[in-house]
Order: sequence, then C-alpha cells, then structure tokens
Amino acid sequence: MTRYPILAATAACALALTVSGAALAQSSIPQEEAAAKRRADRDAKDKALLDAERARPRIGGYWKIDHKITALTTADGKAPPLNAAGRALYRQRAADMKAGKKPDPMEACLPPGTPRSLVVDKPFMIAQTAAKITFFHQVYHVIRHVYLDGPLKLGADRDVLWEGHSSGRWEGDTLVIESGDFNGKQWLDDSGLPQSPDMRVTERIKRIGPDTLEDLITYDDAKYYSAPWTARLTFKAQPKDTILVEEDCAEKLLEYPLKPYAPE
Amino acid sequence: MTCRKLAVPALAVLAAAAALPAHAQRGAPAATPVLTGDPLRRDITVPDSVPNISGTWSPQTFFRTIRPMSGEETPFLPWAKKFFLDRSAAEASGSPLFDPNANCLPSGVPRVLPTPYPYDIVQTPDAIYVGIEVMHSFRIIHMDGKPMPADFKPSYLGYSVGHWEGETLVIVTTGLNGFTQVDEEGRPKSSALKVTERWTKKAPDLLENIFTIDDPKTYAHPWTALAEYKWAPDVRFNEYVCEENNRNKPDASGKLRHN
Repeated sequence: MTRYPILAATAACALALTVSGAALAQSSIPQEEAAAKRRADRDAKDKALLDAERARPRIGGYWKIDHKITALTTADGKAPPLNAAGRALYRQRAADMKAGKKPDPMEACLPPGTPRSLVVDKPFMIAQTAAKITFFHQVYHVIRHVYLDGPLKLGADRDVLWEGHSSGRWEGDTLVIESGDFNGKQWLDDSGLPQSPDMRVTERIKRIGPDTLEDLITYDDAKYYSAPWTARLTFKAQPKDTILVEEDCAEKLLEYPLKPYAPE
Repeated sequence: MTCRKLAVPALAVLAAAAALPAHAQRGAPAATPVLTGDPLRRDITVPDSVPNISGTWSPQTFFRTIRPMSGEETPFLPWAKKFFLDRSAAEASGSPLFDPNANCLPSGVPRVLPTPYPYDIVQTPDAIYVGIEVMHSFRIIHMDGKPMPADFKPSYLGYSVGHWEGETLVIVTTGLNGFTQVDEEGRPKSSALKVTERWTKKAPDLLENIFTIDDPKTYAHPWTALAEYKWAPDVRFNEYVCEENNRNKPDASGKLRHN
C-alpha cells in the first residue's frame, strides 16, 4: 500500500463508509442518496442485460466467408431479379470492367459498405456485447457498429453513408439487422450488382454449427430489382489467433512509393 | 481531505479491489462482480474480473505536438533535428512537405494517441480492439501473451501486445513502419521505434495514457508524453471517408462543415 498512499487513505475511508454504510445512507444528504440509488438502479439494469446477453448463442469471434463469391445469387442459386434499369446499369459496369476502366468504387479505396464488407473474401472479427454488435473488418479496416436499439430510424437529418445506418435486435437465436440510409454508390459484389439510395437491407444472422455462421440477406430496392431477393452467405470460424492485417489501400493512390524518413 | 471528498474515488477503489484477480483476493469473501466501465460495451465472454475500459472515449486534449511531459526539450538526434526544423520552415513558408496522413494513410502510433476524434474500445477475450474514428481504423491490442510474429509486415499502427498490471493496461507496440511522424508538427520516427503505453482509469470518466517513445535511431534517449480521454457514453462514430474528404467538406458558401 505504501506505493499508493492516497489509495490507502481512500481505501480506509471507503472501509469506514462501507462499515457505516446503512447509517450513512440514512444520514447522508438527499442528493447523494438519490445519486447512489440511480447508480444502483443502473448497475442492476446493466447486470440484467448482461446476463440476458450471456444466455444467447455466441456469434462473436473471427469469421471469413467460406468461399469466394464474385456474383451474388439468391439463396436457391438463381440470378437476382434485376429490373430494366438494374440490368442496364449492371451491363454497363460489366462493359466498363472489360474495357479496363476500373469502375468498382473499391478500386478507388472507397468503403466496401454494408453488407459488401461481409462478401469480401477476408477475415473479420465480431465482438458481441449487450449494447451493440461490432464488426471489425480487415478489408479497408472498416468498423461496422450495430446498436441493439431498434426500430431503425432513417432519414431526417442523418447522413447517407457507404455503411448506412443499422439497427439490430434478437429474435430468439437469430440476430436481425435492418439497414438503410445508403448513399447508393457501392456495388453489392465484385460483379457490379447495383444498389440505390432507397435500398433497405435485412440480415438474419444465426450460428448454424460449431464453426459456421449463416447470414440471410434480403435486399429490397425497387429502383433496380423487380422484387426483394435474399442471398445466403455462410462464414467459417477462424482461429482465435487470427491477425487482421492492416490494409492501407490509400498507399496505391500515391503517385510515388513511400520511403522511411530516417536514414538507413 | 475528508471522506466525503473521497467518496467517489473510494467507490472506484472498491470496484478496483473487486476486479483484482482471484489470487489477490485470497481469504476474502467471494466478490460479487462490480460493473465498472461499460459492461454493456464489452464482449460478453470477457470475465467480470478483468478491468473494464470498454466504451467510447473522447480526447481530453488534442495537440499537434507530442513533447516530453517532463518539460525537457525533445532529445533529437542531429538528423531528426534538421528534419524537424526543415519541415517547420517549409510549413511556415506556406508549402508544407508531404504528409502521408494528408493522403488518407493512418496517423499511426503514436500520432493517433492524441486524436481529435473519439475512440470506441471493445475488449474481447484475446484482444482489445481500439476503434479509431479518424481514417476509419482500429488498433488490435493482443492480450494472448504471444510476441509479434516473425513475419509481421511493419505497418502504420504496428503490432501491439498488452497485459494488465493491476488496473493499468500496459501496451508495447513495435512493427511500425517509418513512414509517418511521431506528431503532426513533424517529430520524425524510424522503424526501430518502440512505444510503451500505460493506460489507467484515473477516475470513472477519465482514462490516462502515459506513453514512452523509445527510438534510438531518432532520439538520444527515450522520452515520455501524456494523452487523456474523457468518458463519452453517448458518442456514436460517424463514417469517416478520407478518400472523399467527407468530414471537412466545405458547404456551398465555402465554409467547412462542422463535424
């Protein structure tokens, strides 16, 4: 204790406070009593939420898509139901890629967005907490924050984003995530399936085996598709010593290679 | 100092005592978990006994300059002093030299430590993830006790290994590339840099980071600086897309957006 004299004094006081705890609670000034009660109520609420979360299936850990996907399909293997506008844009992108124009926003180091970051063939980490589910992606070192705070609030004064806004909730063993407020610029996959700013995405994420996670993704975007459609992605668990490599895409945008400042 | 003044730190000490590893509590009655930090913002599999720093934190101070907290001059080696003065002169003349950060590359360690943007810390069983809003990045503090892999490719944020010393998180970072500066003002660094950080929750709402810069190729001896973060439970990250300059974009009148 000698290394921490203030802590020692504090601890002694704390002990005194604890021993006389009941008496103190009665004799203390009302504001302090109210603050102590608020703190106790909050701790009790947090504890209940934490216990509830700990009773759920575990989806946290390192994951990676189980096979490389170039073009998304519906869960039963069919091509997504593009409408005329969607088909025109999709064909244009294919033609641009063939012509070597690199139209994919990811080529320009722009964010993969939601939910394309999951489609990329690179590992990610899910941290499962009681307040939010956080996805840490190797690709573009992007973080996706999914607050368990439904229902999803869209529009109003909120920015439109590559990642959009997401809100999650548990339905039994399934984490349901709804997302919207997209900027409509990102592609859904490497083949160039389009999205518009009106796109709404609903994901149903579930652990379906000891090392397998499933995400049923419903894309609802009347501007480019004739009907909502659902893709099925599965992810394989990765070892717990997986290292998410720091990818610095912006290096390739430089006109000349970086060199260290210090003389070698 | 009266007991009333100590009431808040006293609670923190009680919380700290409850969070000590079991061996430190031998003979004491079984501790009920005390929920410090934000128990709802850390991975559910992290034991309650681990000190909790999870949640969002905002910088207490942002500074362009990282300098010794002792008040001494920065102990530059001659090349580093020249580098620093040359950069300062170029900036003063209105034509600042190349800065990778201005080209959407990460600030790196330690320049990101006094970030003007928030942190979102999520403790997981084997690593502490430190989300950094600026430049959409995150640090991974490996808590599994393993050293940096031999084939680790040096990067901006490097490879960080952490462990708890009581209530203090000690982080040692190596594997840093020498492409960025120590600070915005222009103190240089080399790939030989080792940064040792000591993160301590000084109060329920204050996280202190005392970090030591040990770079024998750049500085005559190691030196130590300070950054502090304030508890900010209501902060939510905004998407930061440097490649689009979305956070400092001027509006139609030419005024910078306030984000």
